[in-house]
Amino acid sequence: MNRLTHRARLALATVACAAPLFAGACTFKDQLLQPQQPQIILPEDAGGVAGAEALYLGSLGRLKSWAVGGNVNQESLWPMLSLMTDEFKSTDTFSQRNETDQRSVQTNDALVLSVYTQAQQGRGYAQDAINALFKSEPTATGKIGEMYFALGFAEMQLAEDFCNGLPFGLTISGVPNYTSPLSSADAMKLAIVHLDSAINLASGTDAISVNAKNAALITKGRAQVFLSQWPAAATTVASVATTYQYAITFLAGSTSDANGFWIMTTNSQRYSVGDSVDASGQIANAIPFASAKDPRVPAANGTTLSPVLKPFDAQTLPYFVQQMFGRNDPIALVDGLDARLIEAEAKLQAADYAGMMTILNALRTSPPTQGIFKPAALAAIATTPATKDAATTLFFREKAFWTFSRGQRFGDLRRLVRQYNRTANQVWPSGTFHKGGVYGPDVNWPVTDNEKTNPNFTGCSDRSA
Amino acid sequence: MRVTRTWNAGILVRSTLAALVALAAPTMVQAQQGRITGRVTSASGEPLTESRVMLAGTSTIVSTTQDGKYTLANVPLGKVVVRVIRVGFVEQKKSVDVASGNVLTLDFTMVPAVVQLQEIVTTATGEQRRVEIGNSISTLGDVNKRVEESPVTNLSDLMVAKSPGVVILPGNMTSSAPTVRIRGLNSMSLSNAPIYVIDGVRMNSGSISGGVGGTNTSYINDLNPAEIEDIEIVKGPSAATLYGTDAANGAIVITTKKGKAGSSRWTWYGEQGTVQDRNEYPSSYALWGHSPTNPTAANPVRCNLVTVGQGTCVVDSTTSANLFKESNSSIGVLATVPHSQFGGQVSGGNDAVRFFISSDLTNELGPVKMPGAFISRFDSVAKATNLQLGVRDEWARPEMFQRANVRTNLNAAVSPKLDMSINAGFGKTDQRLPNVDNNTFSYLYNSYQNPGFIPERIGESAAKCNATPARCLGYTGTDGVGYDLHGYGLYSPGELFQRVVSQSIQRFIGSAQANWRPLAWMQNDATIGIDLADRENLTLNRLNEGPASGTTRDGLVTDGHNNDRNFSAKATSNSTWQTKQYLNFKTSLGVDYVNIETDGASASGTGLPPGGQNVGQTATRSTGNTNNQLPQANKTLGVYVQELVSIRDRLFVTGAVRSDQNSAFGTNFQRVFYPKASASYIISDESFFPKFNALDQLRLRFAYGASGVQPGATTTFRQFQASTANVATPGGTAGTDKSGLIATALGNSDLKPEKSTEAEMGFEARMFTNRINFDLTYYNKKTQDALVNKPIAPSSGASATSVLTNLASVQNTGIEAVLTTTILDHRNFGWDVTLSGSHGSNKILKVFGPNGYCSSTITTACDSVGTGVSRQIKGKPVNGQYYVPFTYADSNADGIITPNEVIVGTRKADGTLDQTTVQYYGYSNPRDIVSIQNGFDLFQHKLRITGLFDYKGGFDLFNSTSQFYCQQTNFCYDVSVGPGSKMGAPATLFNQARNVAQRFVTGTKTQVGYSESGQFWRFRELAATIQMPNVVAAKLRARDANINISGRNLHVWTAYKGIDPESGYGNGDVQNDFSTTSPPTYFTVRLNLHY
Repeated sequence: MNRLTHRARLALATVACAAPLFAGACTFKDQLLQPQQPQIILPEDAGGVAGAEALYLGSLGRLKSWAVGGNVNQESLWPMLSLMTDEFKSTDTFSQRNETDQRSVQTNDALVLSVYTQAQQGRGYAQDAINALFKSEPTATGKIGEMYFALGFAEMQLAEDFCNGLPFGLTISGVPNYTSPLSSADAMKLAIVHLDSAINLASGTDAISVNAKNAALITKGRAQVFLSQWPAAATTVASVATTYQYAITFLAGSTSDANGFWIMTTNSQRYSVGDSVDASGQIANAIPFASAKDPRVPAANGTTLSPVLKPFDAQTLPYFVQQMFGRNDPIALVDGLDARLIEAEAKLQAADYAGMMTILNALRTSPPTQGIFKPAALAAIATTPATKDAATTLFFREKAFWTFSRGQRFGDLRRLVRQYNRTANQVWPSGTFHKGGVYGPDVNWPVTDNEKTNPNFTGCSDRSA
Repeated sequence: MRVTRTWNAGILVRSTLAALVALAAPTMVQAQQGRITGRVTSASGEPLTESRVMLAGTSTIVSTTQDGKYTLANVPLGKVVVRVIRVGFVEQKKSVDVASGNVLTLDFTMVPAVVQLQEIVTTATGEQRRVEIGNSISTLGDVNKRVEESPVTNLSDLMVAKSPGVVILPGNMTSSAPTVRIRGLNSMSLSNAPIYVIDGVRMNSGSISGGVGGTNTSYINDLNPAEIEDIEIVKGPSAATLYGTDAANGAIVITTKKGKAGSSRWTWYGEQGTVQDRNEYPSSYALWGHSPTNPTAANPVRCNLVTVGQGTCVVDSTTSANLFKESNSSIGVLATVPHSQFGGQVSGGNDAVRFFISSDLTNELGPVKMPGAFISRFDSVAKATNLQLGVRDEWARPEMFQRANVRTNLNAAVSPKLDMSINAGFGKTDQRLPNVDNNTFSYLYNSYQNPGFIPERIGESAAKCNATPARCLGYTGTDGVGYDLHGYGLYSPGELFQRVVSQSIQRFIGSAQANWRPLAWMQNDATIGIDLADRENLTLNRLNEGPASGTTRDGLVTDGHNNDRNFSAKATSNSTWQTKQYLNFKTSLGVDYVNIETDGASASGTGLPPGGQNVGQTATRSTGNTNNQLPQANKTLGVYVQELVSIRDRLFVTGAVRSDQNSAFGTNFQRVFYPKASASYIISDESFFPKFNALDQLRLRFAYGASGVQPGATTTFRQFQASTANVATPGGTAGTDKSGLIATALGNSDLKPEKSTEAEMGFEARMFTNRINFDLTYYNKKTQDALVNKPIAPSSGASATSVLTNLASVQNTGIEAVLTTTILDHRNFGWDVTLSGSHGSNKILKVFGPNGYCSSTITTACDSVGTGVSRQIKGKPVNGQYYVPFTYADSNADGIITPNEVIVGTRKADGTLDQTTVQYYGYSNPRDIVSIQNGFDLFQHKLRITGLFDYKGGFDLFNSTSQFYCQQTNFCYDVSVGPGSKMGAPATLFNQARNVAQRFVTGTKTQVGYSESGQFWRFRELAATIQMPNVVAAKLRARDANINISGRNLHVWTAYKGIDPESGYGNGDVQNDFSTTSPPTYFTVRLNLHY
């Protein structure tokens, strides 16, 4: 045997030993390497009518979660917006929340980055559902219209809150497509295009269509107000009843999907209802939501509650909203109340202060229900302001109480600067910040650094209001 | 594409059996052969067990029995060379002529080697002489001795500071996960951890979420170090080629102990020790003052250095407190706690069957306890309410680890040509950890939140503070339940430790091996094995227990179950041929299959009834599937061929190639090839090589090879996920839960593994009659097709924020050196030193290719990923650290820095301030490693003292603890201790400025001041082992006995201002020192008895 050549030995070894192994490996290769991912959901699963319906429902769920839903201590857009205004103040130790409260948001702020990303992704989910519904269920125009509302609402809200220079691209079949940034005004016009699609498609009389159309009308009205088109806005929303609500509801008994304000206030005690005075003294321009005893914002000192609610940072005097934000309490994403306030602002702009007061007093004496919270009736305001400045102050104070924590105060403060010729320091919380230093200069949010992957985006084009 | 679950063990069994049957076919090929027997002894005639006797030029290796005997069967006819190798002795070889049917006797008398080196290593193709291999391989031979003679409780203790180029960051808590990185980082998106192979089986080695805020546990710690025979660290692709896809980060090859023929030998050991947290944690401070405009205010206000510097606050008095220094009082959490380990082993058998059986029980508590004040409160409540229960043990001792291991390894010589072995190890691990790290329920967090005083120590009380927080600077003194916090922040240890986080793992690692030698020149090995890990993670917060946060005290349970299963099968055929006396060939063919499967599910709920402890008893349960881990499998099938040529037994040239297919590769990518070539040349054996008296041997090494890292199991697929939505009735406020879908991962059908190719070269010199061994290695590794989580801009509306793509390349280079020497070796005094060191660099060569989107934050196209502190930028290291800089000046020379004295950013040429451009600050991982181990033998080697010093440097750490508390509170040092303070040395201007830059300036802020050098020296180990006199051993009826007294983590020297430069949770590539614990100190006494 040892006279065999090396080549012969190798051949023999290969044939005798390795070849069966190789043969076995080759024979069973496919079975051995078959991917075993049985529970992942692939694109073909999302096809057909059932797939389109599922994408529609999935998109509705995400609309809720990016706007106002909560999970553990992760908040969504509206709570973060309210933190930068005078509605809430931070009782947290997270720098991101403190800096937002301070109006000094960094471009790499992880929480603003998160809410920006989620809102943009909400657009993507709506677009996915629109594509699937058009393909598999084109007669479901009410649902398609509702998805266009979801798309337009996201664009309206982003345009209202973020700086000029906001891009809106799309992802098609898993491939991202980027676009050039738009000014806030142009972004709002894009939102109106999608909202008009919603209004046109949801022209039926079925409940879904009616709901979607009303929601789209009010949202369009908000966009028109942002564009200084007050009379048109009033016309747009005129047909919507005050009692109408597009409600965000939460999973019953769930710990993973809850009212975002409940998460950040009662549950984790990271937010306190804002006030005009705090440990640092008087806060310029801040409405005393906590101490005003206004039934529209029923706040109480956490240390007087049972059980006691202490601030997360163990330093800031905490106020918590009562009655409004239960774990699974619904929140009105869009409300007939908003329509009336749009009409009132149109009256303000038309110098019809009496007309404005009529609307505001009607709301005060017969308060609409928001979510499931119905505040006690308020006395009508007897005096009609004589000047536009006084009327403006009164209107935005009334609106602040009516829309408390509903993602509108931020845009209103921004508009007070841009449309009502007030300075930022006359509008936004200013002066000494309760956690040290002074309030910053922000009147909107920067588009965060993760957008810079978009080759067309180089940063905000304009941070002014 | 439709994928289905097709796991079928039967297929594997059938294919394996088919292969084995096929292997049996050539038994008809027989040849005339001889037989060699003999005995291996020391110079004094003592039999040397476990000597490796090798038939040169073949794959035949046998071990000597307890009486030193060996038998080599199937020896080919003619002149053969027999070689004997044993740790601690100089290699011996003899030539002999074998005639047909002869039984020759060949005895060996071994000469001790001054420097003890491991000469046999385990490779992918079987055992091999170290000199034949062109790579540098670190071995931890004779692990048993290390375990008996040093403070080792887990695998990371064994490996830390033992090998150049290998960074091991031990866990900070009782059996928390270590971080192991070899030759730096080369992957930006995948794990840079090595793979582990135990007795031929791919081992579960990943870190496991501990559920406590960051700190992970690890499957690695389930192993009992006392069961291990040796550990080899295969450092890079040039050595790990045949380990295939996933081995580019190196492989740690573990071999467990095997039975030794002879009478049964028993070993018993018992260890007792203590665990202490001796780290220096920072104090809290309070500046009690008043506003200059309101000097007579009823209540004080808290000043900080900035308000003092700005003149808006006037300090009246100061206080400080440190709850970590209260271990001797009734409110401190730190404690000295016990550690123990007991076990026994027996080994024996005969030439036909040998066995090794061991068992071990390890108990350890973490250095944390519930303070006495809180125990007293619970006890008094229990007494007042007539409850039997006061304080549960799990509250009193929230950090605990218990590990029980049993192992049986059997080896049988079924026939002269067939050996079989079975290795089976079972372990059960139970552990409990308190909440720590990035967690509001952390006792560290709540200790740091001390407001700078303990009310009862300054004439206040919790009741007074609670009634009027302003008199206590806003501190209310009580928690949400109304209990006295005793100076803790939001929650006290009393309630925090009621929240119990535990983990239980049952683990079986088993393998069966066959070694069949049908011909003298052929050896076939087959291994089949499995690593099964069953794990439960439980967080339990019973009704009316735990911190008063949200619904926590309503009762809360989170229960997760996971199964991790690794299946390994491999077969190798080695054939040898000696064409000439000086020329030998060895051909290896192999097939290697690994299937890594994992699945799990978790559920949680809130609202427990009294006594309720499981999710089924909760009122409100989690919904959605985000907590459920989908079953996944990652499978690799590889084939390889290797040729080793030995020329005159001094030049060894190896060439090999391996090809892999993997289930995680993209559908557009099928197969990857990994080539390998190496040479090892004992040049000093050449006649032309000049002879130096001092030089005994010089070996040159060169190796080149490739390996990979595979992507995640499902990364290639574009996916959707279920998303339950509560949808309101149109226009209404009541909703119903409905199941929907949303897009998730974008997928990438072109995915392929990261491929690393490495060239290494070096030499090994033995000098001064083998007293000094010096090993030097240079390596150059290039990783191509490196996977990058290519970011996706949110405006695209994409469902994912990134997609894994092969777009980058990285280069790692470095040099490693080991000097092993015995300086003195006298009868009464010996001194040996092992000095090792390494320096490594890595550099990103490319981040994106032409098809990648570029980041506009960098002006050069396609050269950057990331916008945070850790970024991937071309020309810089992986995970380089980047910050916006700042400058400061104490303009008014008052010793206090205020915001107007700090400028964030850099001045551009035109005088404007650039506050967006970041600067590179340093590596995230150590690149310089030095370890020095000294050993002293005294009193005729009856006493051995060893000391190990460990240095790591060349990297920066983010002092996140100081940064966070200085940013969030006015209690921290940087913002409280100013000029003339009675609370200690004042904060430097830099310290003040770094905090002003991150907190008080308006506009852009920067945290760069808290990025600090992480370099340190640590007195890692000190041990003394005393051989007990024979008379004492005899009284214990032992063959011999020794006592070991040792300590671990005794002291650290560092300029790092955080708690400890090894303090960090998580096991990623950037250390995270945020409110985490730091390495504890161990002192142990161990008795080893050998029978």
